[in-house]
Amino acid sequence: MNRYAMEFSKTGMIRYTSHLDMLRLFKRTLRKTGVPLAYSQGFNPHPKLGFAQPLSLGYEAKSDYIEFETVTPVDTSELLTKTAAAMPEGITVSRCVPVLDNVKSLAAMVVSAEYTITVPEALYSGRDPGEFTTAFLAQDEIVVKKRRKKDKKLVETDIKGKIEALKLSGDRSLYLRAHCGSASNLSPDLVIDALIRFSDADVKKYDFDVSRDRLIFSGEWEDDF
Amino acid sequence: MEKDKLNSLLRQVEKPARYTGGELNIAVKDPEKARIRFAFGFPDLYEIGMSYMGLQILYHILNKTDDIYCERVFSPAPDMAELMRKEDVPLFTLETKTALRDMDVVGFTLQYEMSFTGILDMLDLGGITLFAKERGEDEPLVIAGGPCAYNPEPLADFIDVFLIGDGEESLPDFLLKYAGAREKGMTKAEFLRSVAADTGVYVPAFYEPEYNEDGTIKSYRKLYDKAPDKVERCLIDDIENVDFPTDLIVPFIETVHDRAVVETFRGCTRGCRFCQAGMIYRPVRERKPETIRELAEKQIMSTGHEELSLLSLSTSDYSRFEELATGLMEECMEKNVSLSLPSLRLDSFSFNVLNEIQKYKKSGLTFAPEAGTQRLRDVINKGITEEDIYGAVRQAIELGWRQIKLYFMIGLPTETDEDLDGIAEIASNIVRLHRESGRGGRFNVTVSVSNFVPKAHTPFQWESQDTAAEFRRKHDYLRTRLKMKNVTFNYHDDEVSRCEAIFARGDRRCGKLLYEAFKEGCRLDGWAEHFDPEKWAKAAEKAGIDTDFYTCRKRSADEVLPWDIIDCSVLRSYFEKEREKAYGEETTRDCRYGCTGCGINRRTKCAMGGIYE
Ligand code: SF4
Repeated sequence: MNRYAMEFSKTGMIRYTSHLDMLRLFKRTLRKTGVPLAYSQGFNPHPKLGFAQPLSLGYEAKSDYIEFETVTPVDTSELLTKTAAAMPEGITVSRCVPVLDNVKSLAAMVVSAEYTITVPEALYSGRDPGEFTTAFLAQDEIVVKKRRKKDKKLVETDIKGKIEALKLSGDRSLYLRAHCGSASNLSPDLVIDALIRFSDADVKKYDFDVSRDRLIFSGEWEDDF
Repeated sequence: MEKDKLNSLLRQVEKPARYTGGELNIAVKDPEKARIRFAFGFPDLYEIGMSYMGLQILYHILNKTDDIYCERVFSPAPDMAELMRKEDVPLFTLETKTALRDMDVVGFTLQYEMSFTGILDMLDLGGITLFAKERGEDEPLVIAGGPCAYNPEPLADFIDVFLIGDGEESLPDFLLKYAGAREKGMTKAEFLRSVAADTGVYVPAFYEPEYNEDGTIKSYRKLYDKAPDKVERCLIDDIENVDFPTDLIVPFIETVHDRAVVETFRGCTRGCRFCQAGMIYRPVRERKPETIRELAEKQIMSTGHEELSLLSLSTSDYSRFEELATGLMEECMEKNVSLSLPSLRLDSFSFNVLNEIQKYKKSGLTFAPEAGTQRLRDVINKGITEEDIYGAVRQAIELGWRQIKLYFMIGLPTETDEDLDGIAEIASNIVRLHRESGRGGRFNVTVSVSNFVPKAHTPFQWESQDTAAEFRRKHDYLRTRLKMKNVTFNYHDDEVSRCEAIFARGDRRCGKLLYEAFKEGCRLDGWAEHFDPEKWAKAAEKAGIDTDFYTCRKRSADEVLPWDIIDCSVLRSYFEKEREKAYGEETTRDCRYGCTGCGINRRTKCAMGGIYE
């Protein structure tokens, strides 16, 4: 099998396109380029492709990856040019590289991610943003309500251990590095919930903006790069 | 529009990609450079509107010229509409996020009556004055077209101009004329007078209906003497010559039909007496098989779609169907594209095709006998016999189909309970055929029943619709009769069908009803979860409309009908003759076996007329 990974960014209005719809978009676009995608076996064959990590609806991504397999080896630079030309506005593909056969899937290698969270000014309700952030992190535990997968019940959970770093990166933006992937995952949505809880200001979740800037993989994949 | 505002809205609604635009193959232009900006409005949700091929056809044709910039706009879902009102955000076009009120022309396609409230909602949200006569010079011109424009009167208060008939030539022509008129500084009224005599143009403001004491129409008084007595529909003689899109817009979100589509032909020669499409799209005009294959290939290339379908009123009536289907099957196989062929007549060739294209996943096999007895099928001129059905079902069972879907209509003229019994009989006979085949396993027959809605420009345009009580009685009757093992029974809501019937044959006074319904908050009435009969009843009361007058009243042959103002080019005398034959349970042949005199050949050549004679 010939495995490839393609790096892309997702910005602007297209951020409102969901994970599943993004998969369809890539599937169609790759078909358009004529690349000989490998299909799964069975009654309902579908091409083998998948994202390194799903992205929440409404988030931008600066550097995301999609992985796919082809029947015969492809010229990656040609494929990249063709894909770039066929993508709608907002999706920019930046490189395409082969993935070695013996490494795990990209999805299995994601361990954490970096984000930029743009916050509404009102969040700080007059306090110094730096101080606010430090105080937020200094809490013994950072508790949010989360819907449990198995019974859909809202339960309280402490997310502090999953935050690797959180600091001011601009007047109205925060840098967040947090667990991401199948082993341990923290959605920035929950960090936003916690920020709102911590602040006494009347701010709404939809006043925040999130961009996932980088996915961080466990060693093997980075080495192959 | 302000970007932050839009983002904040989009983060709060379901399926935000309905409102973002930016899909593959959209037209990107500098609006400043276009002579005229047109918003193509589809008064239903994005995923419905984007499945409609007519939009893709006209979008493509209009945007070919730099003079016109055609953008799209759909009904927002209730969550979005509410937010827009709360936040004071006007309804905008998807391409450039321009408020509707800032466009030059806003046009609506009228595909079904139950979308009419959506038009009022969209105008209102777009910041446009609802009533045409109150609209200012600086507001857009509001136009409409599509099959429901063949009875335009219920919308006459809100629409400046209706364009009747094939739009591929008339719409760009009309828009460019309007661009020219404005460049010359003409007022809207001056412009409308200048196009009043053009084929297909109906300007309601140039006519005033007068009524008899019994509420029927007495006459139409012309308010502008150069306006035509009757508006003739636009008719394209040969669709082979009109451009068909290969660069379809590819939605991000899943729509009802997400696939490449090529129109094989327009029109139908069968002459079912209840069917409006079968009358207003005459005559049959085909594309060449070579053209169809080429279009299909290009569409698949430019969209990356994984499914191809053909568009027409009845797929296998295409005169060179075997040749076409065989070619497309090969092509699709090669490209890993699945082929879907709707409404096939089930002869042995079609079975082979279906068996091939549904090798692994057999979807249900569909029949539309429409009526339960041969007598009633003769009345409606539906040329399908029970033996046709049973023969096909036997073969289907042999080939492994497990699901048969049957479509019927109730409330048809001359219907009795015997005809309803016939429906149950067909279902039980099919179940028996399966049992007798000894194949065992799961097997299901779905019986779907819709309620007859008499339509303008058909032989049944004078007929009465069943009352609500009668529909309900018939539903109950059928429910008892169809309580059988392996049979599922579905039926349409009678309130929706009655509402549809009001507008299908309504006059100008129904505009009041529409307005009141809009004020009551009626929206997306084609959706069961949004249709609210109580609101509609309240609206009818406020508007002072006796709905029975429009639904369950038989019109006399000499009554002036609201849609008489539109000439669909099929003779009224043909409709009358067909109605008489219906009462005599006499069929009329498919005119491929010889012209049956509908009269369309006064205007154009019927390439398919009599080809099997
Ligand atoms: S004029 Fe004759 S051939 Fe032509 S559509 Fe009518 S019935 Fe058919």
